[in-house]
Amino acid sequence: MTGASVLPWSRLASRLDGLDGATSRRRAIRWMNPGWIAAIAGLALSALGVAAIMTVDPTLAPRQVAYTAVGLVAAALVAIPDYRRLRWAVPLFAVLSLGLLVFVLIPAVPQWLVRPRNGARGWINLGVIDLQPAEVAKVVFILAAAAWLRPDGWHRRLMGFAWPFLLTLVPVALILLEPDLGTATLFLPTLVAMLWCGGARKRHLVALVVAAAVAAPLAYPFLKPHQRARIDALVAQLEGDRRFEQDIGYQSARAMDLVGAGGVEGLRAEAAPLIEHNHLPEAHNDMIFPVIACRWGLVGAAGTLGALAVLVGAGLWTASIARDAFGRMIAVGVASMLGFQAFVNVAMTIGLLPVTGITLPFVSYGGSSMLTTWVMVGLVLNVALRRPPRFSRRGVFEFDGASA
Amino acid sequence: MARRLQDDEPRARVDGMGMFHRRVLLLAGAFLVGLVILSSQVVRLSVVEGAERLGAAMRRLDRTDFLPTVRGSILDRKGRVLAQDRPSDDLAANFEFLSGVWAVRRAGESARRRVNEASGRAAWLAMPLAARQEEILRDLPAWDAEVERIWQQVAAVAGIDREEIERRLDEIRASVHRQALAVADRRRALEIERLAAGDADAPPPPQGPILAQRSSHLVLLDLEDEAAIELARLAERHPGTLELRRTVRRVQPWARVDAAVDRRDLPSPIRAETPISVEAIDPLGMIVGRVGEEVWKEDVARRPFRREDGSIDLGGNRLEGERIGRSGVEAAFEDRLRGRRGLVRRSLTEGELERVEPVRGDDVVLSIDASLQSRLAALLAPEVGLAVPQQWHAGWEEGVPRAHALPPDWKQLQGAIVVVDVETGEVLAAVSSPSPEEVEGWSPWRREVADPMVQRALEGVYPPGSILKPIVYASAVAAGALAADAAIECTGHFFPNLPEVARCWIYRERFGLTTHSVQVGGPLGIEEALARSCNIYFYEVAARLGPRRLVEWLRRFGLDRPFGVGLGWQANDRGSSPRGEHAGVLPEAEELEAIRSRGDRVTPILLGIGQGPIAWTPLHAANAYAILARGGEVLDPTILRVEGSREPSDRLPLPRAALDRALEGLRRAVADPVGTGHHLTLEDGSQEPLVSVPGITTWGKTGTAQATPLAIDRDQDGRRETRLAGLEHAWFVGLVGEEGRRPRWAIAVLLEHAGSGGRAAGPLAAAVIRALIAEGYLRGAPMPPAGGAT
Repeated sequence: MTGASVLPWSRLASRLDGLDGATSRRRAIRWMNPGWIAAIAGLALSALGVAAIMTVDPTLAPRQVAYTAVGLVAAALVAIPDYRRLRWAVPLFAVLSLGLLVFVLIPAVPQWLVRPRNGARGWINLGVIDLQPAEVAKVVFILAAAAWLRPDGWHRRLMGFAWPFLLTLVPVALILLEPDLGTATLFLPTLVAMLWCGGARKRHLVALVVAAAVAAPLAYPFLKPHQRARIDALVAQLEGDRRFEQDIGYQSARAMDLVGAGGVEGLRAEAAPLIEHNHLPEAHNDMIFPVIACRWGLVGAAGTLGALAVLVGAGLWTASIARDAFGRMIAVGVASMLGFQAFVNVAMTIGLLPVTGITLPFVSYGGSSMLTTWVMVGLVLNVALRRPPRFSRRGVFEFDGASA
Repeated sequence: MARRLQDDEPRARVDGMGMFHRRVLLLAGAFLVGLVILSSQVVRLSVVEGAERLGAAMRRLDRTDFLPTVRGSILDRKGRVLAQDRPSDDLAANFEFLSGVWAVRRAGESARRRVNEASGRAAWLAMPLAARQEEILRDLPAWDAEVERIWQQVAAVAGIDREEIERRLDEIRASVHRQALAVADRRRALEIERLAAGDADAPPPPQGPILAQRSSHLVLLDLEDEAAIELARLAERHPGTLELRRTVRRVQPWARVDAAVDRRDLPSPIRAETPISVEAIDPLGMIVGRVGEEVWKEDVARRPFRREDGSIDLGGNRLEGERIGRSGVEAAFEDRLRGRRGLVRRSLTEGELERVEPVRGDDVVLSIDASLQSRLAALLAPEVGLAVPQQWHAGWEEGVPRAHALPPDWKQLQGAIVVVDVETGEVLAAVSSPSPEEVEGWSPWRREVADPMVQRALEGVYPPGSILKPIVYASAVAAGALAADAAIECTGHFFPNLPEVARCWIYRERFGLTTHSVQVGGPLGIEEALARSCNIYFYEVAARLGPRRLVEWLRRFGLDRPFGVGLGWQANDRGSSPRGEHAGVLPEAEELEAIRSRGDRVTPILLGIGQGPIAWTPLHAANAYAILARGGEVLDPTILRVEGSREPSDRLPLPRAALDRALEGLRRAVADPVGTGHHLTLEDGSQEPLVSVPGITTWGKTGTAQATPLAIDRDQDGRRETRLAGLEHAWFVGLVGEEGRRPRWAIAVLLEHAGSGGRAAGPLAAAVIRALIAEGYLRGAPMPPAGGAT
């Protein structure tokens, strides 16, 4: 800690901070930290998810509990080693992740290994569990971006944009080829958030966002027909045109009806037959939010949104108290990615965005996404556990060249 | 620590809250905004729109079932059923059962059970593949025998030969095999396209068995009740084999009718004392029409079941719907025949919510008499001899047979018969021969009808020839171009200096270049002109009337105009035109102008004898004569039964005097020895009257209309190089009524390419009149009963 004088009473404070007393060690573990809040929010959301899955498909609920347990263990494992040690492994992770992404795209790979699902080749069948390279890529991306977005000023220049941008485009392109539009769309906003918090100049970011906003409609002709149809259906729905309700807009219309049907208090036990006979597609994963809103009403929905907000907030809080840029970026990255994912998923179920295939973190059924989400929370916990004591944080975190 | 800030150092370093924290806070703020957006939308959905959405979701708990309706029947004028719904029990067999796969599966199961029982639970799985196959093959014959036993039982219960069933099964197997091959070809082509396009995103084409290989196929139709029950039990005992289905079938009782044709009054070469039994094949088919099993997108577009605003039209069409009429009256009156489905809406929680009873379809009653139609169709059967080329059509020249324009091995003459009620305009019969069902068996080197589905009575167009003559006369008198009692000289040829052009038919070498004036001894009046069918008379009339006025008058007589008899309408670029009819052909204004401007003087007068750019259908012919019989009142023909009276749509100002004279001419054509429709000359020179029915008056006109040359494929090499020229269509059109009374029925008879109107079509017309008597439409002098249609 360069140049800071240690006042006498700060020693007391740091003793309160740390149970192990090694206050002078940089690697002290702070047990009281906002990372736990994130974990508790995650646990609450997982429990809510299990209850919601019980409503629509009780056979899946025990498995979801198992996935949660596995996720907790994974989070714990990820939280144990100091995150700074991970930094040197990031290039290895990146190579592995890209390798996996390329692997699923190779046409020569037999179908028992990479089984196409809904026309997308995105899952590797490992027998017990299915591994989704796109999910792995999400975590690795956050770590990579956090590691390479050095706060030494070069990324505040426009040229500095090129590198993180390319860093992002490679996995995004590979994921788009699967095709998995939903997951691919999470990367850029997360990058923007990380660049933003990493100190990029406002005007550069604004230019990037404007460019993306202008370019997005130009990409419309390149989209596949069913993706275009979904956008058309959304536009129609927003205009009150009910034409597509019976086919491509079906999912969205049903979801909105069920959310509305829940009312304020929810339908409780009567929700299950209603959901079943309304034939809500993917009710156990993509469309889990309408299930919650239908069963527990506005109260349940608010609770879910609240828990998600707490999760994101805890992540950002962790970022603000982290000891170094790497940790900060990790926390910002995790919070942003989970936040965007949750936003897009809920928005699509309530008719604000076209339907894409992403799940609600912690709540939706799925082992692969549960695992990566818990790993991300584990990372946040990791960072939070190693926060510096309260009173020695002054001035260190700005963009000085000697940050760790 | 005051120092100069470097260029790239953030200014905020010196603030209490770092830039980073500010930015994190702003990011948090952005997420908060997102949260607010989401929350407000959720609130809007659940609070503001909650009740409405709950209602929508609850409505989907309801289940709506549709109750089928009974389709209306099509009846003939006497109430005979021409088309009707009838429930029928059918036996269907699973394709796996038919193809032997079922037996293999059962053999596999039994082999596995046998092995496991003998050697322990996992013995089967432990066996190598080849050994397993052997075991299955050991059991297979027993299962094949079981299959055979089942079919034997089916044959016994249904009362059908086992071979007959096997034939049907072979048909099914062959058809499915053909389909599978076609699908395999198509899949291969699709796969090639897919790989060539490099479109890895398109899902690969489906593999595996086609639908026909996975579904059941009908083997026996229309079983008796007891047989159906017994077979249902049999099907239950052997799951996966047979299936009893109850469907509603559209039956046409008059599709095949046995008619006995009385041959006592036919021309002597084909006369016989005993009637001949003829099976009339589908005499009404093209009029009644067919019902299709599938609903097409065009039908849904025309009358959708689910309207755009979401409401349901119970009488509408949906793709997974039931049958729909595809042709004829079935299609034209689909909405009336179909009725309306009913519906039952049940809620999961509250039971039956709504019930709308189905409405039975209405019947459609035709003006056609099915028994008469069948009799007339039987007359045109080749066995009878009226509709095949006969030597008496061409005649003899001093004992030597004259050559027929058709080749000697010509098997059958195509033809049409129309009978129209003078009083109401109803069509009593409209027969076209051969019917499409019969076309299969025809000799291939003949020119097949360009379209075998032509209903010749309504759609076949032919030049009228001489039968137009009374119409031309009546039009000329009504237009004031001719006096009713005009007398015109027959000079043999119309143009004085051109003896080869525009000749009278009698001005020929073999008649000694005589003229009608010579025969009559002076100029002819209309009665003589019609009886003898003098061409010159009518050339003159046409010349005086002029082609423009003649064409106008012909239009008023119904030519070049569709009647809309009742077979429906189809949309075209001019709005719509009737289905199943032809409007006829008349020269348009441009063509008349071209005729005039090139100084053509022949075509205008040819129109007077019904040749040139003019053609009409037998229905037009009968209708035009009916107008004459009515004194000029126009009642368009219809195939629907008319209740009460009809108002004429037009009244042609035909002077009574002219009409009486014309009718007299027509009467003489049949009754007078000099009339072209009076007699038939046989080989030995003797003459037989064409139409001699006691108690009946016939006002008739023969017509021998020059036809366009015919191209046929004589040597069966697929090309029609042989051209037959000099062909003529044989017409006989007229009116019949009881002696002393006004004409009651208008008849039009046409035999394609048969030659002389009188000789070929005349005997047929006589037979038609006798058929009308047999069916009770005319009361002739009492006759011993002839055969009847069963």
